[in-house]
Amino acid sequence: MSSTGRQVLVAVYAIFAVAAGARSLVQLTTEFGAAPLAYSLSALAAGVYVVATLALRRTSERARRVAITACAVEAVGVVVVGTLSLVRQDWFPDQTVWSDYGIGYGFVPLVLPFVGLWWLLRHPPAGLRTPASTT
Amino acid sequence: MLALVAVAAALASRVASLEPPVRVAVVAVEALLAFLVVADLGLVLRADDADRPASMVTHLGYAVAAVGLLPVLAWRRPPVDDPDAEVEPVSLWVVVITLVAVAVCVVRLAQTR
Repeated sequence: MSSTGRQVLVAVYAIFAVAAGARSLVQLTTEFGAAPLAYSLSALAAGVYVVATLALRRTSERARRVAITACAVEAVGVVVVGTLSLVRQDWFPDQTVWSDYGIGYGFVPLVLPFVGLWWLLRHPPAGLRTPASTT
Repeated sequence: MLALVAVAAALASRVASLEPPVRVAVVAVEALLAFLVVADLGLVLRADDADRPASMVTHLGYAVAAVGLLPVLAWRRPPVDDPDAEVEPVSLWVVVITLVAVAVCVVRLAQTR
């Protein structure tokens, strides 16, 4: 179950890394001046997804901490950007991955960091497991 | 077909006997996707400028994603920090998620045509 959970998380984060990365690359190179804040946030989101993907693929405690940090940054980002995109629409002339709490991606960007944090906190590396957490 | 194989993969995570045919079906899906993408790109490249996608980069991006996601995500490999570890088959739930993402890419490929 632990391996399946890790594989699923890596797959979902990898898909979002590709989607957000490709989107931000096109936006930044072709129309950056139209919505610099939105497109910069798309690039930030892509970077967070890449870091989370790479960290989740590794099994060390250090990688786990990086993954937890990435998920936490992602959670704060999607909540803050999602809220700002609703209350200050003039700041966001175009959509980002995190706009409207990720509605353009079926709200997966809103749910994903919390699922990731939940999984990471429930599955510490083998060397750190207590007897109760190994069952 | 993508939806059918995705549902079959989800079922196979519970019914072990379904797993071998599902993994064969995933390979068939990938071959079909490669054929469709090559055919689509052939049509796009032969079309007049007026009939080409508004954003060729976006269309090509969806084409690459549609054909590339399954090999990248369903390719068996050991953890980066433990290359000698025994490699287990990719979870069928990863296959399900990847097929859903591929279906989205195929739909977007058609929409950007």
